[in-house]
Amino acid sequence: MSRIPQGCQTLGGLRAEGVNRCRESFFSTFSSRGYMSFLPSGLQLLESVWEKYPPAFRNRLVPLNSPYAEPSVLMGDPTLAALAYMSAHHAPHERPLRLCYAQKVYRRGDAPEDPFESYQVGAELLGWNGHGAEVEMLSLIMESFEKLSIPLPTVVLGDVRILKHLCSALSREEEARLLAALSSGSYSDYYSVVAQISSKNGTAAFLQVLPHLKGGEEVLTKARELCGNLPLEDLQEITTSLKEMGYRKQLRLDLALFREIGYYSGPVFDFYLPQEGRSLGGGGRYDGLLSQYGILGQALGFNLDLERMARNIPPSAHGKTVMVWGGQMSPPKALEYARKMASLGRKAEMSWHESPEASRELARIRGYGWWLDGKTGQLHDLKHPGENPQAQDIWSKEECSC
Amino acid sequence: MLTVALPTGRVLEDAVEVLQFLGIPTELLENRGRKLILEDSSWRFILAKPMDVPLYVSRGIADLALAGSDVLAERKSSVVELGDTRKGRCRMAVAGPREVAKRFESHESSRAGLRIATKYPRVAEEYFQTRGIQVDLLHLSGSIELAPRLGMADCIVDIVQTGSTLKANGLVVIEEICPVSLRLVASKKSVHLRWERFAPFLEAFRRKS
Repeated sequence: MSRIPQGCQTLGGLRAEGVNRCRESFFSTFSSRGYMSFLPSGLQLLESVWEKYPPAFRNRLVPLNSPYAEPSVLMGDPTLAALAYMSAHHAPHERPLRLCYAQKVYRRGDAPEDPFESYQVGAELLGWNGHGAEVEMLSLIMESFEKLSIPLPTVVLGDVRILKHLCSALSREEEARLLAALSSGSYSDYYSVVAQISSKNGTAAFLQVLPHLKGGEEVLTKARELCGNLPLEDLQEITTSLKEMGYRKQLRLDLALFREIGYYSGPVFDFYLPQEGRSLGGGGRYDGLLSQYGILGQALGFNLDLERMARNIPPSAHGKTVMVWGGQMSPPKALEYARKMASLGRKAEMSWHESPEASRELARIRGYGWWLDGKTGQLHDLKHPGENPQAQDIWSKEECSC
Repeated sequence: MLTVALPTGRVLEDAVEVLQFLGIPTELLENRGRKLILEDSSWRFILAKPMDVPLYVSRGIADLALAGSDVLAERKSSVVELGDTRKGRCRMAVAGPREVAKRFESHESSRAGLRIATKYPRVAEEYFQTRGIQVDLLHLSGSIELAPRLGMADCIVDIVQTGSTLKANGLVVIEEICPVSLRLVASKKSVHLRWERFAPFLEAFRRKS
């Protein structure tokens, strides 16, 4: 068996099928609401991305030389490619622009067990101002999950402007230490930094409480009581709208939610599936990056790990799939049977075996529920041999008069 | 139900004391025998190798865990550290024979090419790399002190508590890398979605410190 690079994986069988189902669910939902498909290059020029990403992110990119000796990186995040595409191909009056993609991305992880390659689905909404963008994107993500018939994920919602606002009262050194503690996920470091911050306008007192502001909508009220001038309007609007759309149970606020502050500039979010122990991914508003391309306005994007998402969906049943045996007949006639089955919403795989027994055996190995004898046009229920109790439900002479 | 991952070995005793301090019932752990999972209707305890504990938390298998800061630094798993228990205190250090210690006192270039035996290859690599010193790392699973004695390595990077094992093997502490203690950690998912259960633990540590 040929090896593949460490940290990468090849998917096949049910897992690949699951990934495709997830991808299709997201693409069909987003494309039905005006999101255009976007297929970025797998390589990006180093000069196009290096300065635009914060150090913590760009240090995880994988540099290499293209065959034309151009310093490049493997695609680590399609967002920049989407922005570059939009700024080059669309005039300002065409905005807002909506793009969606499914793409393999390559990033070095922090821990040895972190994968190097992942298959992500994502979308970008560029050049529109207001919280309506977040509500649109978050509700479309939920709609995509609903189509997969699995329990809906919980979305954890925060806003990096809260920390930015609080940090404005701190010295640069205090700010750097505070953000480093949050970035490393250490509350003990966080509190030791907060303990050393001299009390300024109540900031230190609020920072003591900040990690506890997690939960439902009530945390917004509590935050307002403690610090009246926090930028909470967008979170309030998003929460109210999503609740109105029936997603109250899926919503959780965390005012200390941390995502790279140099990259994100407003509301941010993470998604957690009930059965999955880690975040599936997330996103947020990144206006600063947009301005680097000379575009004014708001930008919003997300990406989710398709492969981990697919692990949580039930495998598609093969019981309804039909093996169409066309071994002793002309291919066009046999293929017409398969086309008819597909038009009835059934999956159909062709079998060109000479012997019908070999064809039936393959159908059994595959776990298919049905076998169609192309010679007689008769359908056989493989799960209940001889009974064919449901044959009429999916097959009639009229429908199959090929 | 909350799932707690605990490190096996001598640090388990400290971990149980921390659980008692936090008001978590530990009766299940008293007569555990060889069981690796112990549970009742409210709590589930997973007993794992210390180096594996952060992984159970970062993957969301365990909501909560006690793990050494040495292990957390080595595994770099994505977890939330709720507090420093101040238990199991020791230090991560570079240690070696006295003649090797002299190389650390002279010009930095004399440290180039040192052969370092360690259970913590990532911590050791990061420590020397940030000082611009290229070393040869030898990843061992235990009895690290043997390596310099048998000529397999020049020095070691390991945790040091009293220093008696080092002394018995003719080694001395050359440089201290960082202090080590047992930390209470939680999975990111649990922190986001089950904060109400964790907040009292965080407060307990803050009151203690």
